[in-house]
Amino acid sequence: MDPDLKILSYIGMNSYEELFSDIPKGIRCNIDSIGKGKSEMEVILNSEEVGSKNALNMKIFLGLGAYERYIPASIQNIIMRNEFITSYTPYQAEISQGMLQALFEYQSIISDLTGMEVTNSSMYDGPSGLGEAVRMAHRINGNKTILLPQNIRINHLQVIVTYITGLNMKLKFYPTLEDGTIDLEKLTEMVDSEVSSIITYNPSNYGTIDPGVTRIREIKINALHIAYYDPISLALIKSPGDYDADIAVGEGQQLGISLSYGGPYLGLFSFKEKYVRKSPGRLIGETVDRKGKKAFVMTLQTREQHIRRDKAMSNICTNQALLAIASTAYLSILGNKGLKWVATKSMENVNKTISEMKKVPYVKPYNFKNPFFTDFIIDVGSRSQFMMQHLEEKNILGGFRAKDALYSVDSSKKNAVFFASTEMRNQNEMEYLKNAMEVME
Amino acid sequence: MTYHQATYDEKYLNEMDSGNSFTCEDLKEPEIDERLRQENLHLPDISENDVVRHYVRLSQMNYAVDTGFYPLGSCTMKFNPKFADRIATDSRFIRVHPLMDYQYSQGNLQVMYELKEYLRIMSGMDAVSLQPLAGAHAEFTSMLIVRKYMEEVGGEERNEIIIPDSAHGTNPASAAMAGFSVVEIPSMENGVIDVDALKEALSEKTAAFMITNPNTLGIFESNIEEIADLVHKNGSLLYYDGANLNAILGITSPGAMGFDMVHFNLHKTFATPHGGGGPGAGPVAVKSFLEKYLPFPRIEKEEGKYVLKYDQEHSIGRVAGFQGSFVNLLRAWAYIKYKGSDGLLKNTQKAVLNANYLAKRLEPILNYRHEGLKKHEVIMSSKMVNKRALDIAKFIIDRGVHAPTIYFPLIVPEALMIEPTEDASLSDMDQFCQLIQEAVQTPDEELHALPLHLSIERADEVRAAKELKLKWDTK
Repeated sequence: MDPDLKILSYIGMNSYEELFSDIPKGIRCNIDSIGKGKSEMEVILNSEEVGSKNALNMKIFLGLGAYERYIPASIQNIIMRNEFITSYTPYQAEISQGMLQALFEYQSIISDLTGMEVTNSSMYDGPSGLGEAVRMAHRINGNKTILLPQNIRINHLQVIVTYITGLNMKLKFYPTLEDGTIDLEKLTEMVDSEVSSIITYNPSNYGTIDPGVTRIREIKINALHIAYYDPISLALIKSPGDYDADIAVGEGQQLGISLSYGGPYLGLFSFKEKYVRKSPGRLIGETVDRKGKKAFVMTLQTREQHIRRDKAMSNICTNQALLAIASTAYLSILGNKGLKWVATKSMENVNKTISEMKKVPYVKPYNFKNPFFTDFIIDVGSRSQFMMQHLEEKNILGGFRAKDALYSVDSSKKNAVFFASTEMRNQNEMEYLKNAMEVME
Repeated sequence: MTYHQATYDEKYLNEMDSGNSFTCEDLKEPEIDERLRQENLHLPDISENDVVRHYVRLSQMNYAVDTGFYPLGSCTMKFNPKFADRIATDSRFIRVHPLMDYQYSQGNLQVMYELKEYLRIMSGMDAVSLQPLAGAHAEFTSMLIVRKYMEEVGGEERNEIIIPDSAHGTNPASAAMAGFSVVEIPSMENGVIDVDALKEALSEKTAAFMITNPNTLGIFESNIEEIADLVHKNGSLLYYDGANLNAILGITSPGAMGFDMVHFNLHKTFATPHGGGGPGAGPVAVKSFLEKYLPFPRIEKEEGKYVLKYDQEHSIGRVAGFQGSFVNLLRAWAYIKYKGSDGLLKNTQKAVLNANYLAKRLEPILNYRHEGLKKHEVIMSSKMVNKRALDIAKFIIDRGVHAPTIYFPLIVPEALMIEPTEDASLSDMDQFCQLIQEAVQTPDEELHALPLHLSIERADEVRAAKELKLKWDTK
């Protein structure tokens, strides 16, 4: 007998329809217009056809928050383990120790990388992490002014603005120097005891490494320093913890996660331990079981929505657990040597790419004191408006106009365009890029 | 059934000492300002072999849908079809940079556009945003839409959101995050909305009423039309928490019930894997009068091409750095194509059938009277048999089956929230009922000693919170 019929008869029914007799006839619907189901083969073949409509041979010379980096094959193998990918949030600790230890190790490795005391078990992405960070700073000091760089990435600003809706907070933009780094003198003048948070970027929003971030501790008064960082860069430059940041936020996509057209990515979110009770998101803690053996549980859940409801520190339920594992595996496989290599190679490739581009008559590289890390800008004169379009036609992604990417740029950058060069780019591609730029009218 | 979970005394990654095996060339140190030069990098230096082994071992100490029955209520732990994994890792889709112009990302935009259409049809709404990155993120987005709408129609004084006491915790948390005050109303004894309490709570300050239907007790609110009418006559909006959409998909829709807005949890209804807690995706759908408030950019179709529109005039803004959790959207798109209208309706029917089966089977075991029809999940209480829900949960996991959600909804004492989904087989469910029966018959002192067959025994949660240890010792 068909098991479904057996169940129906067990519960005393003759048809599926009876199961829905509590739903009034007047509000019934049908979804026939989405079409009937297909076989697995048909779906796969259809997906391949649709996927082929994307440009498949693009040489990616652009970053701005999403970077093509090499992902060791082991990473995908690890995150596709059925036991990880098809599990839920580890509510029953004893049967979920694997996921809990993996997330505890994620918190640990990101804390070590950033030099911060505590890292939560992930946020949605970097920009929304910034939104949560300014809210957290406001919960801590009650102040309402946020200081941010005038050259902040426009999508970051837009997310922050959305996240503070209803808090009556005020945004003030501090000036940046010619190379995009913090204008410390001007920023110092703007800080008073009413400031809630100061957001800094390292590398700066022009892509340059910024020593100014180390000085914020001296000028912040009551404000919390929110340091946005590039996790790869921390192989070579001081970490947010080294310069005493209060909250450190980063985009973890570069740590073993594919470009994926913008998501899902990974919000890295760390802070000083004294702020833990005001922090958003989930935390995994080490403890023991009844025999004294090392064990892991979700902890400080009284900050969270399922216990504290409208008084919770955040509404986070789902986070990016699987991608947190990917990033931990990435950092472990590369290790100190590998991460340094990725960072160094990126800087080297930026220089090589600029050297190639210099051969194009209209290209004027900027001569900054501080070096670029992965993203960089160059001046391409009046061609800036159509650079990206021109290059995409030649299967190159790059040349995004700075004034379209950033909230504001100084007058010497009105013809600046963005490129990026990671460890994946090579000399042939750089020459190809140069040739493509050369033929632009 | 005997069950023994794999058990390893697995060291931390930074306690292993096999040495770094990553191959790369030697490069010249770049010139970095000495104030900024990093000299203390503390990553583990271990072999790739050790890393892979480490994660395989950890995975063996982790229960999942692909291990066995996982009736975790409200979480909809159904089978995640493997063809979707193949699509989700296809470089044609995932080697696309989020800033590639629309002409060069037509494939991905087509996926998003088609998914938007599917979701629009299934929800009975008019417009969809795919940007929010999880269900709670979608709730926050929706509450901002309520806020913006009220501001524009002169309802600024409407600063309250009404929520039943049976609601998911994310509902009040999201409303508060968007700057609203939360007014909680009690449910009737059988778990449904108390219409009189709602009438009393509705006022000129009410911005919206936020509910899920069926509610968290798995019961369909049959007077939903009356509720919608009351809310709308009061000048307020009606919000649908889509966490339980899988109970009614294809039978009725939030639009048909009179809701103004809804969010979807793609990992619940459309089988994208939960990944041990995420990533998720939480599209939001609204009626046409709210469309202009949706986040930007929005995907549209113009002259046969899919494009992104950045019109911001009325939009609540951006909630994510880019276009959303694309890979999750891609998986859901593939799942919907595979199931189709017939398969999705069948899902709903079977999910509800299975929940009602469990309700009837468990009623005598737990002495818990359940009223009438269930939808996708069933709430039981172990109070009548003088057992703690926690103890029952530990008994079940010790036998190699995942426990139900416990102590939720908050209004049911010693609650066990059980959701079999359409993918549970009769023998999965019978075995589960057998385990509940055995748990009920086991003396308390024996239950308190469980679990014994997992990688650890009962974990000390109090100590975890008191002696906070949130990272390993730095080496």
